[in-house]
Amino acid sequence: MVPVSKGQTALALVFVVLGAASCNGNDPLPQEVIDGLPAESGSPDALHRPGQPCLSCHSTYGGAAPEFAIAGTVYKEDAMTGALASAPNVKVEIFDSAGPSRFACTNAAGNFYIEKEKWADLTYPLKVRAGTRSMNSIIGRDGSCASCHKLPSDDRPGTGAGRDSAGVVLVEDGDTDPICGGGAP
Amino acid sequence: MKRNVRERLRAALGRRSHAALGVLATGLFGLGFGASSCVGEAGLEAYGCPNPAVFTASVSPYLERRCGTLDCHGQPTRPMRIYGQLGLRHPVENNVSGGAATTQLELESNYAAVCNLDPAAMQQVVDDLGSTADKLLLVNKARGLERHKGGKIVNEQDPGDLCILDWLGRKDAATVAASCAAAIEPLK
Repeated sequence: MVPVSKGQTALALVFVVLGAASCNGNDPLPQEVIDGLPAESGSPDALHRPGQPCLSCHSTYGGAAPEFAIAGTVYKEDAMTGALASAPNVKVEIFDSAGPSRFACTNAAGNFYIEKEKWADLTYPLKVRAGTRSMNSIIGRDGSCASCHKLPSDDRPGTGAGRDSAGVVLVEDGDTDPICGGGAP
Repeated sequence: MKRNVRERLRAALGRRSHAALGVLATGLFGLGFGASSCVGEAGLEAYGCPNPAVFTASVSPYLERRCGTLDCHGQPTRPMRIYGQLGLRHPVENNVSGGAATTQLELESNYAAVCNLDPAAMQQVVDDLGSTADKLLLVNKARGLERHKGGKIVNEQDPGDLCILDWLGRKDAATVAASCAAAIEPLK
C-alpha cells in the first residue's frame, strides 16, 4: 500500500470532479453548434427546424428524444422564383458499409430521419441517394446532413454552397416516390 | 535636517532607478528570448517526405474521397486537414465544395498536412524506404490501431492501405496509381 497524503487525496478528488463535469454538456464543439442554433419557432415536432443539424440535439450528447441515426432536410428550387422550398414525399435511401440499405421519406417540411434504435448497427461510411440524385461523396461519420449541407447565409447565398458547405440537399421538383406518398418517380 | 531629507530622497531614487533598470533589463531579455523563438525559415529543421508528384497524382485523390469529407478531415479544426473538390476548399481561393476540381494549392496543402503530421517518423520512413511505415500515425490511425475518431478505415493490405504504403515505400508511380484507383473505385 502506497502512503497517500491528504493533499494528494484532495487533488485526486478535484480531478475526479473535473472529469465528471467534463462529461456533462461541456464538449465545446457540439455545444458551439447547439448554442448557435436559432430559437425554436414552433412546436418541437417532426416538422421543426428544417435544414438544421438534427443530431446536434437528437443524440446522446444533445439529449433530445428520439436519438437519430441519420436525419436531414431535402429541398427543391421553386421553378418561378428559384427560391428554396421544402421537398416532401422524397425517398431518401441510405447505403451503409456493412448491411442492406434503408430508406426514409421526407415530410411536409422536407425533413426525414431514421431513429438510432432502429439502426443501431449503422456502419460508416455511408452513401446516400435523395430521389434520383446520388451524393458525389461519402458520409464519413456525421449523421446530420446539415453539418455539411448548410443553409444559405450572407457568405453562402443561393443554395448555401461555400468553402465548407455543399449547399442544401436539392432534388428536382416532382422527384417524389409513390412509396413515400408521392407521384410516380 | 534638510540635508538628511535630501540624502534619503537621493537614496530612494537610487533604489527606484535600480529597480526600474532591473525591470527594463528583464523585459528586454524576455523580448530577445521571445524573438529568438520566432525563427525564420533558415532555423527550421527540414524533414523528408516521399515523392510529392506521386502523392498529388494518386494518394491525394484517395485521401480527399475517403478522409477529406466535410464531416471528417475536411474540417478546418483537423490537424491533418484535407482540401478537395468534394470537401473543404482552400481559404485563399474562391471555390465551393462540389465545384471546381481540386487545385494545385490544395494538393500542395494536402501534401504538407500529411508530411508534417509526424515529421520525424516520416523522415525515418523516407530513410528506410517505407519499412517503418507502420510507425506512422497516418497508417496506424487509418488501420484503427491508434485512437481515431473516424474508426478503422482500412484493413492491412486493403487497396486503401496499399495506396498509402506504396507511396511511402517509393513504389513506382504506376503501382501507386493502381492501388489508389482500386481504393477510390468503391467510394464513387
